[in-house]
Amino acid sequence: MEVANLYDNGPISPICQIKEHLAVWTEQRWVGFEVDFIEPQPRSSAFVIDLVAVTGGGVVLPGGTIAAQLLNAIQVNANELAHLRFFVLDDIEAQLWQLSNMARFAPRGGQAGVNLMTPTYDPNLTTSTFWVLGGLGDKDARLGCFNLSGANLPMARIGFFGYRYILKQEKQADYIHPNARYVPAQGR
Amino acid sequence: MRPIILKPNSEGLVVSTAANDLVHTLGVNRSGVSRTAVIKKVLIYNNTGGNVTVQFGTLDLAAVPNFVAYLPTLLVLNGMDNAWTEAELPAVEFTPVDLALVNGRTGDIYLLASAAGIVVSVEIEEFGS
Repeated sequence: MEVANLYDNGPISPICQIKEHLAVWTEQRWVGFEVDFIEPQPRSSAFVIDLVAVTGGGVVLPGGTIAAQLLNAIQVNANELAHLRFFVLDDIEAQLWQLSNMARFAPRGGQAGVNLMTPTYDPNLTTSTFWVLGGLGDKDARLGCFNLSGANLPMARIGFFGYRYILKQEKQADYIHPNARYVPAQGR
Repeated sequence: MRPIILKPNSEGLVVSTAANDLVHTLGVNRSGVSRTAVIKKVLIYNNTGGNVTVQFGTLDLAAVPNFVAYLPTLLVLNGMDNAWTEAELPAVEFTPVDLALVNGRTGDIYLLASAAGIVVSVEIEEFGS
């Protein structure tokens, strides 16, 4: 299994081997873990979510938005880490928030998102990579979208693929292994 | 390379009224920047009892908007389905123009037919966003 750096340009790969160590940035601090298991999550129908359906149906008006929604499909259990990329199937721009309301991919000038054009510039969707640390309940990742088209959209589909890591907390609180790879699971 | 989004026209199946009929509204991004569009395919059915002419264009920004033709007049034969594809259609780009009144353009795609009742569907390539 090839191990990648966090944002290597190319197909998604795990960022460590099993039994290696991670330091995860979450809730404004680095937390140390040992990785106990890794499994892939291929691009599949189960993880293509329609935000319109999540919000109860209808349409998204031209220029309209769907506010950030907590998506059960990308929640993970406590002491698990989801390592995901995402894409859209409809003419929307999807945006990511983590830990309730912290905008991700958000430089000073605005908040970037993923739209139908993104894979034409970034075929492997490397720039959509994010991590979700489980067990934070309603603070997990949320996604919303903006209708870029000039028409009503009856669907706003977003898909996810990547890896799932099962973690063990380091035996001592606040310990971070010297060889740990540092992973941002929250913006800052 | 200019990446494109190939899509149907926003208004779906349009039935002409012999006045300005909206065919497609350009997409607009979060910053308020519009996309632009090229018509790639036109399919029209005419069962009105006579031949009809149709033009594709946009509107200016006058208080009472005027139709501005962007493509030459097409003759839509009665009793037939009439199709024009990329091979026949010049790549005229529908672009908003932010100038005042008659010098401005919405950029949205409209049709102006000589008679009511022809049924029109259009395929679009959009650029931007």
